[in-house]
Amino acid sequence: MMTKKDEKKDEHVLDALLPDIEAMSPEETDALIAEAGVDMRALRARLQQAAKGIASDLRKGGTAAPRYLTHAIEALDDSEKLPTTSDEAALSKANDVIRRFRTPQPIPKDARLLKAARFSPGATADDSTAEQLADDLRKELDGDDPATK
Amino acid sequence: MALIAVEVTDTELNEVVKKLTIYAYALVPRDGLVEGVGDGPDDLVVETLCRWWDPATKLKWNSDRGDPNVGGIIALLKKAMKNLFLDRKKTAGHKRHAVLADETDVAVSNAPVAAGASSPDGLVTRAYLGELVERVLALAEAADDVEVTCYVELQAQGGGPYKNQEAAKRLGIQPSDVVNLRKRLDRYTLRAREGAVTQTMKAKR
Repeated sequence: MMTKKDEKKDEHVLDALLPDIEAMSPEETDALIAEAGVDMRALRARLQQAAKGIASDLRKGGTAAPRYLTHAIEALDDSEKLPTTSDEAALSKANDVIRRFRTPQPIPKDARLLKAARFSPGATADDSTAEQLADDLRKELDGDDPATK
Repeated sequence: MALIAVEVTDTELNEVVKKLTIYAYALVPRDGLVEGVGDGPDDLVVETLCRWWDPATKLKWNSDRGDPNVGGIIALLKKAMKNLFLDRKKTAGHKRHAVLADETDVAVSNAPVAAGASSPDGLVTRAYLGELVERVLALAEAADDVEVTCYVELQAQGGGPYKNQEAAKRLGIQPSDVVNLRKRLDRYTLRAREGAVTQTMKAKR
């Protein structure tokens, strides 16, 4: 029969084999996230929804959501809307938005490239090309791929 | 003991979420968390952080441990996530056992079936450990990574757990080598989810 001590020992062996995340540098963390193909934006959106759900339940029970929770909801908002609660939070969010433009984002494992095109409005008289590409893409997403006809 | 809720900065929250995500992806083999339950690594991250945020739970910072710090918070949430994961496996074991008992109409005790009938809960942890070791060893061996192979075997079969210093001494390498080999081990653990190991493991059987 396995004792509690044996179980604890197994859990400590597990700790020695699983990632030592506390000691991981930001660069190592980002590299592993990219390698695992995690869709961080989708996960953060789910986390924000879950946090909003907790806040909503608290409000229904007559309690205001605590500040740490409202702050988490705000911090998990990946839209480009800047928070108004403090200048510091707004600056931090603006930094994140700019960093996202400058850093390659991990591509989720199940994502696939359908089409790529570069378009500068006004730079060419032939704006219809971009519109045509967008139209093709819409059809392809709807399952009506013009290329397969 | 005083449990307190902690407000972290945006940067700290970002670090917590990313690191817990890596841990969840290392914990969960392939796509399903537990057969019959179907939770994935993202679900584990969401559930762990919900417990941290929900004022009604006891997953909070213990002020007896001093002022809150991000390293301590990550350690606390990582432990909570591991326990949550192992509890799910135990629960699934109990459920499967009950279903099996109903189907076979045989009187059985309320024990999990993971790693064998009538096993105590501790065997669920041991079974999972064995599974983790197997999938990681397959990748380390395929990459001819002797250091990682020896480290995993030392920890799992050589009387571990050993801290980095002790493991280095036993393996005849420097502690800094252990730090480096653990970084490679993290990559094998995450890659083992992709299913490539399944073929290797099948070939070994």
